[in-house]
Amino acid sequence: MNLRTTLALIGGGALLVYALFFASSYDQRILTLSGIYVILVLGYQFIFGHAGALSLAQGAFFGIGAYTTGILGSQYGTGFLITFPLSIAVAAALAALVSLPVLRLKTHYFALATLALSQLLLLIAVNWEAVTGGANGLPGVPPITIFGATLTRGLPLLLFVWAIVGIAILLAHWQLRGGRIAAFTIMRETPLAAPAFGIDPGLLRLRAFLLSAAFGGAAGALFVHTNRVVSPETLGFGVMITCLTMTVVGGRFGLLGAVIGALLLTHLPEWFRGLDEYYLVAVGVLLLAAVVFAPNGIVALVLPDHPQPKRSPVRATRLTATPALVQNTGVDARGLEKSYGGVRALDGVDLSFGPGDIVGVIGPNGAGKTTLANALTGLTPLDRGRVTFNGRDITSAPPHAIARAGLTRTFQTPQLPDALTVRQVIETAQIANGQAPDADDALNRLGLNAEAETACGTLPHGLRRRVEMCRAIAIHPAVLVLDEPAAGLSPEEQAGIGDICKTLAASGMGILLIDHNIDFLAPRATRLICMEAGRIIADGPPTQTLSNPAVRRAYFGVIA
Amino acid sequence: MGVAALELHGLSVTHGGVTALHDVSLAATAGEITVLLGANGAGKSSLFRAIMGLATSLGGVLLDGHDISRRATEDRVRAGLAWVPEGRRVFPGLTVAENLLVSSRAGHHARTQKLGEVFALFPQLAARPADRAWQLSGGQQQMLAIGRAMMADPRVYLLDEPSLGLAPAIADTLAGALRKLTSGGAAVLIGEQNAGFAEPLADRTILLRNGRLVATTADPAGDQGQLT
Amino acid sequence: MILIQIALNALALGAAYALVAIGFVLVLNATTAVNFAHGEGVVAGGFAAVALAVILPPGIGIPGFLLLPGVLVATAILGLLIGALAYLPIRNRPPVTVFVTTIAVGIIIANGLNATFGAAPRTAPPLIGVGSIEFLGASISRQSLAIIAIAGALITGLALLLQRTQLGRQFRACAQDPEMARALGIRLTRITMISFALGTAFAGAAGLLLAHQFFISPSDGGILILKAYIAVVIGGWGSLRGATAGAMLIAIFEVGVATLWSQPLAEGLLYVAVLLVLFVRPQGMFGEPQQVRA
Repeated sequence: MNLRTTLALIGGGALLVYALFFASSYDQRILTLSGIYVILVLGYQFIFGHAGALSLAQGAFFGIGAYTTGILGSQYGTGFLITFPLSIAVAAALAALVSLPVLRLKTHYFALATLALSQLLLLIAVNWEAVTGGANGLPGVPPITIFGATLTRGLPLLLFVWAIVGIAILLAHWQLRGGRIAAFTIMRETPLAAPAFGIDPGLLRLRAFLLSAAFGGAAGALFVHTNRVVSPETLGFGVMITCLTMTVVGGRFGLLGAVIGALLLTHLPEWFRGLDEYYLVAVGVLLLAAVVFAPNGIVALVLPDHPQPKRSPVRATRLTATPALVQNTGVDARGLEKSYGGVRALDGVDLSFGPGDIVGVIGPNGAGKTTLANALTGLTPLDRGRVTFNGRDITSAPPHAIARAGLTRTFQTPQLPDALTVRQVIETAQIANGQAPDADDALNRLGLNAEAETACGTLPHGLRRRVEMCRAIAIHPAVLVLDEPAAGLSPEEQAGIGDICKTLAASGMGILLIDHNIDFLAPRATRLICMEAGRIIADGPPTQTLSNPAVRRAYFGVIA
Repeated sequence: MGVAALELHGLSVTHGGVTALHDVSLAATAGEITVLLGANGAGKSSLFRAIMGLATSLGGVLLDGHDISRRATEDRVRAGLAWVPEGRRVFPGLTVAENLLVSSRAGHHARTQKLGEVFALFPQLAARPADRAWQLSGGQQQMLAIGRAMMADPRVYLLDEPSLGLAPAIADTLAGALRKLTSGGAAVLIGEQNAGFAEPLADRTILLRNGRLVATTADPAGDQGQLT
Repeated sequence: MILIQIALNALALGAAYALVAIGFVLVLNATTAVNFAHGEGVVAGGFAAVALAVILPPGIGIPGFLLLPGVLVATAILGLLIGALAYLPIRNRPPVTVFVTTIAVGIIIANGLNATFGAAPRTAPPLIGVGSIEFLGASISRQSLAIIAIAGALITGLALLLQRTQLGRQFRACAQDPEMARALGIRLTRITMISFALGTAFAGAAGLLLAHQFFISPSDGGILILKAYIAVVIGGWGSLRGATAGAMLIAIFEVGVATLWSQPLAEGLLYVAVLLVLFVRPQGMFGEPQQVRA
């Protein structure tokens, strides 16, 4: 058991003792509110922390949950067992409704859309007096009654709310298990590469948004049961600011951070009571200080996270039985065209290759090599043309689907999140592709056993390239697109990569190798293609292509 | 041997886990054109970015004997460096004249005078001072980028692939202009992959390959085999 | 004629909103991030006017426009403070961090003003006296005329600064390619801080112009920054002309719908409209101008 868990249990125990024996009824109320905010912040961590999206709608979800319970409870006497799930459902439904258009927006538009949504709901709440009670709201929200038992204010309500907090924590834990935290990290830090891992960023973001809404709605419902009144204040920007501050101060990730953040900020008004109306100024200062000095929250600052990686038993290097690659017909690209502005990056490209091929691609800057790689792997939509992979038309398929189908790639600059270990990176790719996480085989092949538990951020140059290749082959693709795999490597490292390519091709993989380095390509490639101005100007065995006069002119300049 | 306006001592650049430049040492002499010849990916751009302070690097960069390796980019430029990057990067929304004027740090009068000098060297720019930079052709943008560098009267010019994407005739005109850059005593360092364009200009040629220097020579003919 | 009345009122309101939106874009172009404290800049300008008006001898009927220099200076200094607190410490971090730090600074300013002046709405003196003038069958107040004149003068002044001066050229260069600007010796941080000062000063001027007719209270910042944000999204992210157009559109919409129906409806439809714009064109109404990212 690590330090954090130990401290958390001790702290939890202390809090329980305080609540049961030392807290006045006023203190108990504050503690109840803390619990409600823990739930709110837990939800916010999904979208703001893990998904890395600046949502300003968390207050709106809180408010809509509040009003659902408030209206039904005070006007129709509907019981908790109906209003509570309904509050959660309505909040989640609202999120689902706006998610499709809103989630694909870039940061500055996403923030605005969520802000506009919140303001719209506030406006409705203030003006639709008949239903919402207008600016004064609705009093008379009943207490929580379950099967005839009423939870009175004070200790019963407090314990109930924190029981729900416990359920929320378990729920959050469940939603984040099995490599999902790593998948979120990859989506946040290396968004370009996430689809190549097989990760569907849109689905991940949607999951995070819906969870944030559901948790927010639950928090709002509990809030009005505590206050016995629902008012537009629950939809105001104040709740959003409070939630944001708690998340930033406590920590964007981590359940302990949510608890600390909520506890701290609900008790601040008490501690800063002497400041009177300057209290909110103090909150602003606290938020600013937290962002500047403790951007990962005070929990991370005080208790740095040293995750104990699972030490797998050392296995003898086994001769890996290559899974028989299903008869794969390879890649067939016809008539590819792509223009950027006025530049024709791809001007009618035809290319076919399959298992066992190592196709080298050379060409001057701007010839279209990377655009070709992007087009084949689904990162760049084509203006015209068709790409077929193993008989399936993948021209408009999303990149993560293409990766899962067995066509994946590496990038010019290795896309690896600093904080994840090598093993985590490999396993996340495997999980995202629906395979059992077993990194040892791939690590063996690339000779990375010694680095398995090392964080990617600390790896030196050549190893990062190898890790990315390892990630790519770990999902047993049929075709691999390598973008400048040899760049910046020492001759020995280059030889290593070259040998790996040969072995992979021999076991049935098709490889497309883009590079500038003729010395690296020529001995390994079975075919060499030269591109210029978006066209393939030569395609054949390496010696034949290299002696082609058009190639020499385009690639070597006026030397020869 | 003249004065070394620019000296690099053991310059290394690592970026994204890739070592783009290994321990490069060279000197660019004042009044001379030094050509750095290398294919794509050889490390030319990384070298220039390291000299400019736009890439994290190890090693020393000396300008007229002063160590500038720890200074911010703006300060290195104010000390006398000028950079004409790959792809020119003229300010698209500014006019030809505005692109030039904004690059000067002198007062109004000196600025206008310098503008005239640049226009005298590049009549094509003088003909269209009020055109927005995005409207210019590749060759004209290259002239504009060089003119921008001239405006601050630098000690050292760093030019990254100036002939890239230009038709031979335009490249010829450009070569003529580049020769004139040294007239004020400045050192010119040109990174190129096109030997045919660069070598006639060079007082010295240095070869760069996979981030390492291969040979330093004043005789380009003997190195033809190296690049293939 | 009610249409002309609406048009005239909208023109005045739009002129003030344009100042807010322009100030917003100035900071946006410098930091590539939203300054959530910008609305507080407007509020601070209004309160600066209130405070300065108190200092001036009463009973003489000082025209409000004389307060403009004082308001501009005060809010420019505030802008430098916002830049120093919310931008400088985190300028090497991803731009989204600025969103959060400016939210924090906005809270500090809004509640600081609340603690100093109280929460009640205040009013600044009229700009050139009361009364109105008949025009094409509608009446336009002197206040509205003054707003249009002052806003017009400030916007013209800014245009001249940006087009004719070296500083203006540096501003525009930094907005288009910050790395290249540095590579030409332009001090990027200095330009950014000046943007904060100038942008907040424009917001402050808008505060002075709006405070007489619409009152000003410490909590007004949120709605103002939201309108500026919307104006910029509609008009084209990062474009000064677009911001002005967007501001005018919002004012026309607001005055039109409010006059013909109701104020809450105007506000609500505005939010619905911007959500629709974002849904239909996620790249913004007119896309984003070319910018080379470092």
